[in-house]
Amino acid sequence: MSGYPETVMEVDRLRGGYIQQRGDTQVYVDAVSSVSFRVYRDEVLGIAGESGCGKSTLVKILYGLVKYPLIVREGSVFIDGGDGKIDLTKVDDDYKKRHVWWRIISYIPQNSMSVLNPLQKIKDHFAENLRIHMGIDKAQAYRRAVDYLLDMGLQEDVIDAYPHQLSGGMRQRVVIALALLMKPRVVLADEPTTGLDVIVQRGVLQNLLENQKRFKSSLVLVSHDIGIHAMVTNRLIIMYAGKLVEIGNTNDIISDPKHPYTEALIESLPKLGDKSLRKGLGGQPPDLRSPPKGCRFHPRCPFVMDICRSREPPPIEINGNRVVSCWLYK
Amino acid sequence: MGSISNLLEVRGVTKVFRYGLLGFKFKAIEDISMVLEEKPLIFTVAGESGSGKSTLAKIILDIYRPDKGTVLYRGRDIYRLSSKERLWFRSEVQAVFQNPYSSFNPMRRLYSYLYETSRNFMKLKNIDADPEEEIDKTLRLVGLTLDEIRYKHPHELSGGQLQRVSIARALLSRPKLIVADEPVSMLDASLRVNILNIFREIKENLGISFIYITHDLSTAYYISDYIAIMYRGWIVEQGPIEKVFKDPKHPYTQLLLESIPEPDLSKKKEWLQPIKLGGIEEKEYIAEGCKYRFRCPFAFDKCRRTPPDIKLGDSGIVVKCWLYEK
Ligand SMILES: Nc1ncnc2c1ncn2[C@@H]1O[C@H](COP(=O)(O)OP(=O)(O)OP(=O)(O)O)[C@@H](O)[C@H]1O
Ligand SMILES: Nc1ncnc2c1ncn2[C@@H]1O[C@H](COP(=O)(O)OP(=O)(O)OP(=O)(O)O)[C@@H](O)[C@H]1O
Ligand code: SF4
Ligand code: SF4
Ligand SMILES: [Mg+2]
Ligand SMILES: [Mg+2]
Repeated sequence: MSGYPETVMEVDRLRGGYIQQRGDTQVYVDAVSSVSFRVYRDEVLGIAGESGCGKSTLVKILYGLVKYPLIVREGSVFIDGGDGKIDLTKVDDDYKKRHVWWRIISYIPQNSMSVLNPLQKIKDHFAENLRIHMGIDKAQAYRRAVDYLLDMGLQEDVIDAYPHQLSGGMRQRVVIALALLMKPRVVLADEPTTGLDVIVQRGVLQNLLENQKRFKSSLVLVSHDIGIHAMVTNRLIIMYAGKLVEIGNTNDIISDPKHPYTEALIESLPKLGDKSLRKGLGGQPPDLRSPPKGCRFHPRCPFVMDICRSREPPPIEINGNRVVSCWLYK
Repeated sequence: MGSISNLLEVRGVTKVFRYGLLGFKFKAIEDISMVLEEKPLIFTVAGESGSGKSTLAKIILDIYRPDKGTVLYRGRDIYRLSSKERLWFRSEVQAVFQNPYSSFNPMRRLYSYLYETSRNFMKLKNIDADPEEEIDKTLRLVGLTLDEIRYKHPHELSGGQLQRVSIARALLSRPKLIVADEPVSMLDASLRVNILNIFREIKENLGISFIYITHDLSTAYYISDYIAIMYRGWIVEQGPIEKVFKDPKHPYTQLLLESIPEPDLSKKKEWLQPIKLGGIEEKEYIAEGCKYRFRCPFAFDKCRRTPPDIKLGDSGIVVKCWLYEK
């Protein structure tokens, strides 16, 4: 990357979450709360944070897959498809199906089994996509599909299998191959390697990375594993309880975390070759139906001040490319 | 008869399943041997999903019986204990599982579990003490108090808190060995280390040994003294963890250790060295000879035959690979 990076997606004060029915009353789960950031061309942007902090919800909204009980309340998600920007929160599913999904942006969901049709052979999944979007014939489509599968370390005969005949790891790789098929500008991958062993994980991530580099596309990679981010991502978003608490270069965040939550998270990770005592966090992450006032991390923060309990910290830019939401930096 | 100076000896254990993942008869673990000496230590059993870790744990806990081989606890064959001895064995060797919510009945208060465990144990050992005091003392070892949980049901605690309660329950019968199968893999990173620290403290302060089963090698290094690496039902390498991690001998261990994504930027370059993915998982389970030979860069003729367990001098390392045959 040189000069100003080109922005492919722009997320602006995005707020979304779930409606929960409780008897006669409805409660709202504030899973993504006023989140802003950009996705650049030719980068790998990571999203990290602990279970339930809103990573999958954010990615679903980025893809435009907003179905009840998930709702978007405020903000926008612009994507630049090459000929102008569109706000994905404002267009309908039909438009997305025809113009956006698979070709401009594709999505590898956390539970990728849900993408595959159990009654369809693997090859028909590929053929259908290729026919709809590229108008190429069946034979061509199959050949293309086989190439992708071989790339993923799968054997050619996978193409004739039904999803249930494959192991979890193999299915995962099929879904990844499908997501890369149309050479989209943005690939959203939500925990694409959970459940795979570390060697297969390494191979699959290397593959995603190679694809990203070859097409100078953008890969948004969700993982709760900071080790994966260290190996793969260029920039990193840290989420806590629905908030984006820190964003910056992955290297900087890992070597010099600024937000107290990020610091605690990094400090808690055991490293190979180091047995020195590590400290975990006390307490629990909050319930997003009634998050704490002010800074959402304040009940667990060792540096909490009065202001933190009443006022929410704004995003604060420090040394150019880092943004931290914490009163310590005001 | 085994040596009484060893806490646990697993001897040539094989377990065959008939309706496994693969729909035919296969050995979930094959000819596995390992020894835990009497001194308190943490012994990790690591390996990818399906490599046989839980099967081994269940054999040691006498939940499964092996088809071949046996397990000795303090020199006694655990499958040939009298009923009195079995009660003793069950109090000496305790288990902690991955999902704490499934180890407690959701309708029952936690306190009633703890009370029952404590009372049974005291009856067994003819101890005259106040169970309530015992429970409170034990809960404090894991960072909780009886007041905090007295009226609580399982779902009213977080995963991390409930896992502490299950550790406390295991401790109530004053065991010598705790078999912990993926005890922290459901917990978030920032909470995980708290539980691992509890294991460390229990080992040092109470002299209790652990078999720690995990697929996470970073946490394994953090707490263990010994490690066994499993692959497709075999232990391919075992020994003192420092040595295994510093200088892995088995080709699989080498690739495995190098593939761990670590929050350590200096490892990035090596980690990004392209590797090839295989698609031959099934073949490996049923193949004759070394199960790693389809991927192994060093495979040679001999590898068509099953490699033996080879002891490397007095390093304490045992490796199952023809490369080390003398
Ligand atoms: N369908 C739903 N209805 C109500 N609440 C939901 C729903 N799906 C998720 N949530 C809640 O929204 C919050 C964010 O969930 P999300 O799945 O985005 O988290 P995550 O960061 O992806 O977690 P994980 O690491 O476990 O995948 C959580 O509190 C979760 O309980
Ligand atoms: N009761 C059973 N009946 C049939 N097959 C079984 C049974 N239990 C386990 N298996 C099979 O034996 C193999 C080893 O399983 P095991 O649960 O020991 O693996 P593991 O190493 O603990 O894996 P994980 O990391 O996923 O927990 C797997 O292929 C599994 O499907
Ligand atoms: S704003 Fe206050 S409570 Fe929140 S992280 Fe910063 S110092 Fe801690
Ligand atoms: S026995 Fe042969 S195939 Fe197996 S790990 Fe050793 S060298 Fe490789
Ligand atoms: Mg998720
Ligand atoms: Mg298991």
